[in-house]
Amino acid sequence: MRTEFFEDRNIDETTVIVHASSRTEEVEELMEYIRAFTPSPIAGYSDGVLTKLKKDSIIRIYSKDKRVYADTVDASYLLKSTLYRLEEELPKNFVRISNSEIVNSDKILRMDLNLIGTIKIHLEGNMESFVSRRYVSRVKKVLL
Amino acid sequence: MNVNKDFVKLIVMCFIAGALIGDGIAWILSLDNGMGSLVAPEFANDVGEPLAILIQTVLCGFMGVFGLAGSKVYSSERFNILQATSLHAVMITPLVMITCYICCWTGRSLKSVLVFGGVMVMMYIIIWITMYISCRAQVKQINEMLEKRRNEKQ
Repeated sequence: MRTEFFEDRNIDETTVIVHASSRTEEVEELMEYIRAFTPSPIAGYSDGVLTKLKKDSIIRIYSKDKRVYADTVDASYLLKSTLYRLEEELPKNFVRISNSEIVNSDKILRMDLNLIGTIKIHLEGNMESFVSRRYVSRVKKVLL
Repeated sequence: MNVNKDFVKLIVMCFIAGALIGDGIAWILSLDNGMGSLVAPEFANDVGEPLAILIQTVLCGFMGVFGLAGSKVYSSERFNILQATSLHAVMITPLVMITCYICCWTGRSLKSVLVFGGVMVMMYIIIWITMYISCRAQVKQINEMLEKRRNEKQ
């Protein structure tokens, strides 16, 4: 198998094109592998065990007691990074909702506003959190 | 060091803005009576015009500091809309009522000052309702976008 690289600064998202004489099982397998590839997964500790987290499995990332955690449907992981750094590294579907929290916009179910003006966000995995008013426009922008 | 410098700059700017706005409004209102004076005649008679102008300017400056610097509560994550509006009202309304009484803006009677305070409270209720409606519209729009996304995925 031969691999080649073409540089094109106009491309936003890395695109892999497979050239083959026919769409064999091997080619299908290769394409599936490429599709499933998650660049630089986030490493997190759960019960002292280091696990590589797929970014699209993360529901929310938040700081609590000066530590940063990532929640997936299955568990909560302690991350060795800061929210600020993660915000830079995470894909565009992750959005900051308050000074202490970033959520995966693909995991947002709905938002509620109560009469006193508190905005609650409902996420997959039965998770809830609060959105700061000044970050509401950011959520809207990500969903556009 | 920079934070302190910026903070002092903000306070000074708020003070100047408050003084200019307060004195400006007082002057515009006095035009209605054909006088064009910076202070109410009753107040000027009490303490003399120069001192009256000084007192009014200082009080309006303080209102500017409390009002504009106090608006920071709206950007704080700690307070919801009702809390932020109530806190701002508690910070400003008594100061405005005291200024109103001292500077004779509505005549020197408790009743007129209380009416003025009531108008202030009404203004804060309108601010709260306006902010709530604006926020609700944004939340509704987001929920519609989420619903659209879900429908597209299915």
